[in-house]
Amino acid sequence: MIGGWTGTVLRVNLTRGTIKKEPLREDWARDYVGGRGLGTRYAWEEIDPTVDPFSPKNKLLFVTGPLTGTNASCGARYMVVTKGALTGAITTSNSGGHWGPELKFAGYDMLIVDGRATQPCYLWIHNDEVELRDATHLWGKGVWETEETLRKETGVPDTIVASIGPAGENLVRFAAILNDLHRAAGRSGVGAVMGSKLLKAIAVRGTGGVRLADPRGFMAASWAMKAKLKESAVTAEGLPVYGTAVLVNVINEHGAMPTRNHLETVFEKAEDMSGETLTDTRLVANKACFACTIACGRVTMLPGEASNKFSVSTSPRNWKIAGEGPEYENAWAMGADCGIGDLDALIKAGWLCNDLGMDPITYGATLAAAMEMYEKEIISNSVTGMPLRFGSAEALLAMAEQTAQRRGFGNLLAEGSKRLTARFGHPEFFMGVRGQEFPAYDARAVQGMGLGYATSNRGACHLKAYTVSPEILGIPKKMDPHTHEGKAEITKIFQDITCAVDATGLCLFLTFGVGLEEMLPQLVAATGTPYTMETLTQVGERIWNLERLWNERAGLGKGSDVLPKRLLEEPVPSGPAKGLVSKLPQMLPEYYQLRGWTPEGEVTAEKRHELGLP
Amino acid sequence: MLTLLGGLRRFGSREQHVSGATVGDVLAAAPVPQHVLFPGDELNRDIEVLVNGRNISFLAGLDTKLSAKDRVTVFLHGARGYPGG
Amino acid sequence: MAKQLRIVPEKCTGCIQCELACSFVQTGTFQPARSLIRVHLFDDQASYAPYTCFQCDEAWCLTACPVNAITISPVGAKAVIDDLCVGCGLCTIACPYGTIWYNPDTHKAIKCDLCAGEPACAIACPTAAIEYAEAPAADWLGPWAEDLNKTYSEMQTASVAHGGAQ
Repeated sequence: MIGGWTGTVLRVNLTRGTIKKEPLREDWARDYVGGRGLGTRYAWEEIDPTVDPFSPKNKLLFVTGPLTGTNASCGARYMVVTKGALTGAITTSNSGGHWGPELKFAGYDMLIVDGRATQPCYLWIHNDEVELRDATHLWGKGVWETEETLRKETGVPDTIVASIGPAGENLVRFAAILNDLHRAAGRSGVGAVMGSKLLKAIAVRGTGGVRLADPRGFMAASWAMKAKLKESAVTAEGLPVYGTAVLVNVINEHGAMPTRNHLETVFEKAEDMSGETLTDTRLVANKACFACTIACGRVTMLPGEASNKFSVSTSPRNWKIAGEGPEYENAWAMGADCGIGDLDALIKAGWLCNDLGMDPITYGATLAAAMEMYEKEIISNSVTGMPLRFGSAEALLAMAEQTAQRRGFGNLLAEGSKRLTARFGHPEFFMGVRGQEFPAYDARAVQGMGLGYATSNRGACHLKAYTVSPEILGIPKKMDPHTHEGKAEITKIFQDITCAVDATGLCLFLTFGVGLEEMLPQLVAATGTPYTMETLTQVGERIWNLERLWNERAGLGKGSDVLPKRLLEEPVPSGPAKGLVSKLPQMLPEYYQLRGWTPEGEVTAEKRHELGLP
Repeated sequence: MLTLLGGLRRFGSREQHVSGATVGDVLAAAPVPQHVLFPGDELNRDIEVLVNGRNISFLAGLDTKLSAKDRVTVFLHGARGYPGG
Repeated sequence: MAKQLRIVPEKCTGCIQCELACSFVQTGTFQPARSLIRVHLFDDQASYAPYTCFQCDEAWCLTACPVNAITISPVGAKAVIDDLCVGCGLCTIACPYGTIWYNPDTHKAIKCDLCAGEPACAIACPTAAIEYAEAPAADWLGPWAEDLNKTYSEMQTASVAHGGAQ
């Protein structure tokens, strides 16, 4: 057995109520490393790209990597792979916390969930004992109450829970799966897929261990990487002290912060929702995921009056005294994108999204599109039920609840901004790609990100090719964010490397401080497979192309590599990026060429052969 | 106007008026200790300097000329205190 | 003064690298269930507390052992001698802190022995929440928990007064 793996895959069919254990495909584990790669390979085999995401035939894969559950710094991660409810594309959604390692300790590399139950249920995995149990009494509860209840119900206090909230149950298109209260497989509606299967939660307790091929070599490599993490400004102080929200001021100063549904790129209230303000006024402590040296988690409090500033009916009984967040992305989506600078509102809305179980990026961006339509009098109070003006914190909080419960206008918001704007005859207000909304970097001000968004397999995403690193932070080298030269190449490189990192089970934030070179020795020592930088990067390219092939079958291939007109034709009105539009048309042909695809952007037979793709 | 982000705010306030004909002049007069900005001969490679949101690497570097209305932003990647600190 | 593991819970981020390092020393794999140091995650209060045997002066475990299988090691730790241990579990009952356990795989008592002077957890901890330093053996956990409980009730009261969480 390859080191780092247990060799067992758990397969649950909810229609038949069966639970089976089967051997891990070691050949796939070797060729795709694990996590995102392994999940995509199984998805290629088992998930029909044309199926409806809510069909019982769609499958939910929970995939760890060989380094998940090990002492490799940040070896916490698992990937949820499915056909996304929001996008219909191959969806690989990543989460941290403690759930992934616990699955490994219980003795399983991967969980495959198939079919649909006849009534709400949860899966209880306790080492060898795995059973489906009734969850009717949990249906309707938020994530936090679900976790608390299940820990008591299983009788095992160290149980780790992954669950959905009302948003997932109500098939909100961008519902998320939460574990450890505040960690999420957030995007593309993986929670809705889980809700469509009537699976409320997966509770795990594992007391086994993770075996490595070369333990001593692994520990030496692990200590070496930890030392490097301590040397980097981002991983040693920036992230632990300020969290990802340290980026608010950085991105705003560059004039790259999409504001009010991408109408502008500078937000006048950025300081109020910045990492600095968060640390100074609302931060309690920072927090780490399993085995993490960085500890970027934000534990925050809303003292007294601040907690009750907004009228939400979600039961305060279930709220703890301290919650987590906000991160840069949700501070942006619910903040700048909606024109809201009230930090307390953002904190509270973030907690709501976690407890109700939905993606704050898509929620905020969808609300922003709705706000633009409201401001332009395309929709009015008779449709929305209340004023939805840019800057309204009340609207943010009220609509978060309504969306999760699919009540009133929330029922329309729950479809995501692509469907929402199309419904009212204004598809041009949808700011996203492949049905998924952009994250917090304006493509006109950071040109490489525009290419990354347009070609991202799971829909617009900042994580799949974070060219902000060179274009804004100068890591590993400085590139001009306003120009398009060299961006095709750097985007391809980042995409491939990110695939490789996502396959190992390590956290992507490591790449703020170290490169794939530093992660490689741990992977080799753990698995015993002699990967090199060349073969590992090729694994990344293999994964990227397989995702692309899957999407081609789903009808989301070349024709979907587009950006909205606003970014291609409406120049930034003011600020450091004034006058710029996205130069996607200049970057895309070069990108296709570097990928070895046809000029139209299709994967060629030669490329499939070269990468050993099925 | 000189703007400091993140950990650099331990040396000065968020925004302050600092005069200088060039970026180099402003940095010399900035409240951030010189050994933090220039641990060697060159600007700390962990520090980025923007003029009106544009990185000085794409302007004229430390010799970039400034007018009274220009905004100079200084930040550390992730805002660390000082080298080794 | 003998060196002890000095724990500073305020610095703990809940990463459990200490558990991983310790379990690695015990078993050669990563298996937190076999770690001799445990981290309590009090998510409600955003507090994380690593705790393990702090080599107390009373030496309850040593006194309770009917076969004298627990001794004081060269670095001043209470250490279990596997050859003598019969797996009766009396030590696990005697310890008021719950930091000596019975290992069902080996049928022996297991506890922290300070890794013979190079404690893996202290080396692994990224935030120096665990230090190997000269300090008196002290029950730091009791007073810290009391303090935490007081803060928690105060926060509860204030929150309820404002109509918040109950």
